[in-house]
Amino acid sequence: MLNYFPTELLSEILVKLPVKTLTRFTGVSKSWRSIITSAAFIASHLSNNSKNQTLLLTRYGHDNKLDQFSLLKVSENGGFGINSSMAIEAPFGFPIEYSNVVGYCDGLVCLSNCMFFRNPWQRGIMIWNPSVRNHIVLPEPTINPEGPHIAVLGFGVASRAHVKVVRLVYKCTIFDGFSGSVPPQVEIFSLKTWSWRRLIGGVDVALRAYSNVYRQAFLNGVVHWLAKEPIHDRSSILAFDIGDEVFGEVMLPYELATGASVKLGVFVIEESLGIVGSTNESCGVWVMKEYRVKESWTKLYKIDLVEGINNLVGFWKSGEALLTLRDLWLAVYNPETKETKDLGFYGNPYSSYVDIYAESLLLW
Amino acid sequence: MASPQENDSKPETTITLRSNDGEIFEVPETVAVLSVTIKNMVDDGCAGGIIPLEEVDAETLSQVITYLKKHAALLDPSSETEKDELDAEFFSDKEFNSLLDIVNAANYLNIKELQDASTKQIAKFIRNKSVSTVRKLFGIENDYTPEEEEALRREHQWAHEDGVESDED
Repeated sequence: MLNYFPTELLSEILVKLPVKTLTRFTGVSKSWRSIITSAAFIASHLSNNSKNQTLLLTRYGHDNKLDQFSLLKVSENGGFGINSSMAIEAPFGFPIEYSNVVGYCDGLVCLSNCMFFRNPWQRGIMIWNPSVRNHIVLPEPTINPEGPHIAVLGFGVASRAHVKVVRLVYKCTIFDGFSGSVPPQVEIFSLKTWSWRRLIGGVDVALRAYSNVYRQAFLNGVVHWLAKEPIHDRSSILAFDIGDEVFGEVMLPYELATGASVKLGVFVIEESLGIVGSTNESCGVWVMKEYRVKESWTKLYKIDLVEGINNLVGFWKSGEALLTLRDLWLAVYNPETKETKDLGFYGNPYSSYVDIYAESLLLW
Repeated sequence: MASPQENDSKPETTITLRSNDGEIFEVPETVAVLSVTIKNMVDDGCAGGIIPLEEVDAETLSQVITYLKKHAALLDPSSETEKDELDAEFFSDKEFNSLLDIVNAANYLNIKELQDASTKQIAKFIRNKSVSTVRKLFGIENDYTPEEEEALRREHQWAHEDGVESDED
């Protein structure tokens, strides 16, 4: 009878196991390996896993150097709290402290140190799966213009576990004040083909994406970057559908698009596209209730930057905002009660970021 | 559950099931139809006679019926805690081979709750087991060459350490 154990039933058992166990069980037999590493199983394991309550905290230190990654276990009993934290070791050999996180998606973190090293031999783009303890370093990109230029990266996973990195290259000339001319040249790296491919056509976007110091927001299979429309000096969001490989623009609400001293950040908030506009006094949190419908931008709430509240680092599933307190501690703000609760975990004096994290088997 | 003042209370219908090794089980209909497979057979008009269950032996069927009766008798069917307690008690004395029989039966009989609970239980059981123990438990033949197996293990050495039980003989 054991020989006829149906595959669907076996998958139902395996899908409930953690990544470490599944990694080990690929050694049971070739058919177990092919079940565990199939795109369909990886996807259903990931969605089964998303019920786990974990945050990935990225901390930057002095000079924007990447300091540490930690996994925080969240509990929602009696309000948002953190049960435990575990530092995770970044892969060896990659100059982590000089890297930027490009983005997080489906258990994968994409890192780049292109910002810091002009020397091609030291530059690198890496995709890392902390739960499988594996990483890959991408081959050298192909668009490398002679003169000064700015490169912005985007990262995401399209359907059927199709992992991609998109690279936008803006040439800098005297005519754009050396800030970068539009439109950019674009290339895409696909894990499936293990190569870069130039995108010809459909790149006539007149938006200049902000550098990767500003985090992207990945939602609905689309990478969203904060961007500038240079002619009118208007802020906007540049969108790139990573599956269809098509660019678009998501307009910001007027007051955020033109506000001079407002610092912007794009986030995913309760599975919608969100924008935070910060001044010295407060952070306004906006959400696009209907995706790509400009009129549906709704201001959810405003957090006054009092009592040592520094900046917003991310959002939990139910909409609570995570922020840093007194330059050091991680705190949670509940928009309903308007209370800020110190979580007792070390944030960072310079900057931090949180992603809602789930283990995955990608890059096994 | 008792209807109050009625004198002519409807007698509870019983369904007769037969395991693949010939044993007969009489089960109240309300309990039996928790299996969608049986429910479909009843709806198709098989209720009068004996329903043969080709894929389930007597031992397993008896355990499944026990589970269904306990679930039907839950005071609060929506309480997750009650269900979890019931499942914990039900599985507490089950050997691994019984678990496999039960999950197969739950699948064949289309009893979602029992299938979910038993797949969860099996996952819990094997979570920290070594590769060779798992092969024995599921009766799986190793189709890797020694070189392939060694290479795979070296690549993911960390997954074989730290909390993983040693091979069981």
